[in-house]
Amino acid sequence: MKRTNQLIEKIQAGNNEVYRELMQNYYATVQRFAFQCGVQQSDLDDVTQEVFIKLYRFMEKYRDEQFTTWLYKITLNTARDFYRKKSKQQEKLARLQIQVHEQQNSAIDFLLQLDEEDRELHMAILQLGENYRYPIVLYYFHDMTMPEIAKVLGLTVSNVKVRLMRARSKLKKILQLEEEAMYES
Amino acid sequence: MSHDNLENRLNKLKKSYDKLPSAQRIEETVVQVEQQLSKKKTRKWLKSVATLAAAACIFVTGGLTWEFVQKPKEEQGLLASFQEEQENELQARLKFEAMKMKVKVEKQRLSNQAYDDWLERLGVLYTEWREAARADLQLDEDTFSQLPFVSNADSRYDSYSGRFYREYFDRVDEQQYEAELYTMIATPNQLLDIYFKEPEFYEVNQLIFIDLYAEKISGLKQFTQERYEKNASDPFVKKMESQQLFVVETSFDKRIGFEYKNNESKFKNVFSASEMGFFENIKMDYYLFGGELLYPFDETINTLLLLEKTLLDSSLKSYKQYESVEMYYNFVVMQLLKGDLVDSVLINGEMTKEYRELLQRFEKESVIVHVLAEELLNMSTSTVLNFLNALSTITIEAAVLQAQSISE
Repeated sequence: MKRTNQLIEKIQAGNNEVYRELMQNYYATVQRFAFQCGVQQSDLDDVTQEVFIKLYRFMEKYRDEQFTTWLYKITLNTARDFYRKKSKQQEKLARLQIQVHEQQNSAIDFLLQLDEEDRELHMAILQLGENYRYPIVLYYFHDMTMPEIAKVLGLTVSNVKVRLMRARSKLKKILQLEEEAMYES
Repeated sequence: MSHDNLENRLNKLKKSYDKLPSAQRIEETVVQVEQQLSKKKTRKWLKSVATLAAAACIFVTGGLTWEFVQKPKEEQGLLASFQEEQENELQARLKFEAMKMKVKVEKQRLSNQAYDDWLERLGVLYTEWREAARADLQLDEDTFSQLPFVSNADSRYDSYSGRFYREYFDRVDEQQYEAELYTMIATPNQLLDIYFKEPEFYEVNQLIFIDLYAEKISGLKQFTQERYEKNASDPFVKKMESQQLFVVETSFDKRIGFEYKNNESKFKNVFSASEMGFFENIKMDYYLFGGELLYPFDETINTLLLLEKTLLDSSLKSYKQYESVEMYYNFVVMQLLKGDLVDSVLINGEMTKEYRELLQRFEKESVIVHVLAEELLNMSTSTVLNFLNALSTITIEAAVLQAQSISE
């Protein structure tokens, strides 16, 4: 953390060279978090890129907040905005049609890296609404405490607790339904 | 699917996520980001060039207009249609921008309107809730508004009219905020009432209820203590004594103490097994309760201890080895819930006399163990005492080790 703060100070002082180091340090975290939040494989690089551009742009405004909390907030907002921008999505679709072959060859498909059980749980988490998905992801996969999650999501700690509890309950239901459906079929 | 099962799967998924080979395209993205950043710098530079270009355009257009006067009719026609095209394009763009602005303003207006409507409704509700709480404590406005939980609720209510909540209104769960505000302004007595009459209000959230309840009592206690220190015969202190707080004067150290009076039956009903109360949930699915309740099991137990500590703090003074008791408490309750206390405690070893006495006092004074014993498991207090005596055959260290192994 101390190291990160030193990097940030240098960037704020105008030393852009060290920004590369900051990106390298947090690239995997951002990409993984975006994936867990529901960003599609083909959009992961775009979203990650956008996060780091925003991060750079807002770097001057960064003050006393915990850096990771800030980074998660930006990633979350970028992931949300990405799919809100309809035109961008359409443009993306067109581009995808052209690049689909290239993408298939070059990108690592995270989903294929997971075994069937993990994939099922990953998809179940994506079925949760945003209110429930983000607390689960931050709590279980990013080792965040309730107050930290509250800061990232702009909620009270009590709200986070309630949402986590409901999320677990919903998750169980989804998984149970899937199990039943599989059993019936 | 059990709670354990889900936790295990989530942990397994975390491990899989951590192994994902995500770093392969870092370099590529780093380069792209750098390109983007340099483009943005260029764009700033381009902006100044564009300004210059615009100025030049005006100059050139001026020149062309001058030439236009001089040119033959054909060329004049072409230039006129070009200018008309440009003008139309500009008009269309302006129209589009104006429309966009109008939509934005309208959206903002609607959002403000919705927020104001909600705030107005909340204002009426809050006044009612606040008045009911004041009446419940039978206090004048001045004293009431000084109570810690009241001033907290007031400032929360005030902050709703601030910019922060307004801006985030579209993301706010109105009902959640209303419920939070209500629980903030409600007296401890009213909280018990809600819990008793409408258990589903806290259906998912018993521990938050306990936190709230304990916090209110604790705040009121401190406030009353301060008043008592200033004036032992303060009517407020007397009022508290006869009302909600079960205040009794303890003359030996001139501190306010608490004991169950009017609310004892209500309190027990809330936590009874016969109603949909706290322990009913444990009984139905103790693990679900421990885990689903957002806290790990040992935290659940610690919260119960906190409640006890708050309500019966004078008795807690005697818990000299508080940490050990906490551990041990965890262990006892876990075993009680699992129903295999007897089998698991018969281990060789001895417990100190001091600790045995502590446990006996603990059982005697502990509402939680009492309720667990009598209402949850239908055991008599003497049975629990026998358990505790049986426990005296093991060392504290052994009990703590067992507790640790269980909580792990």
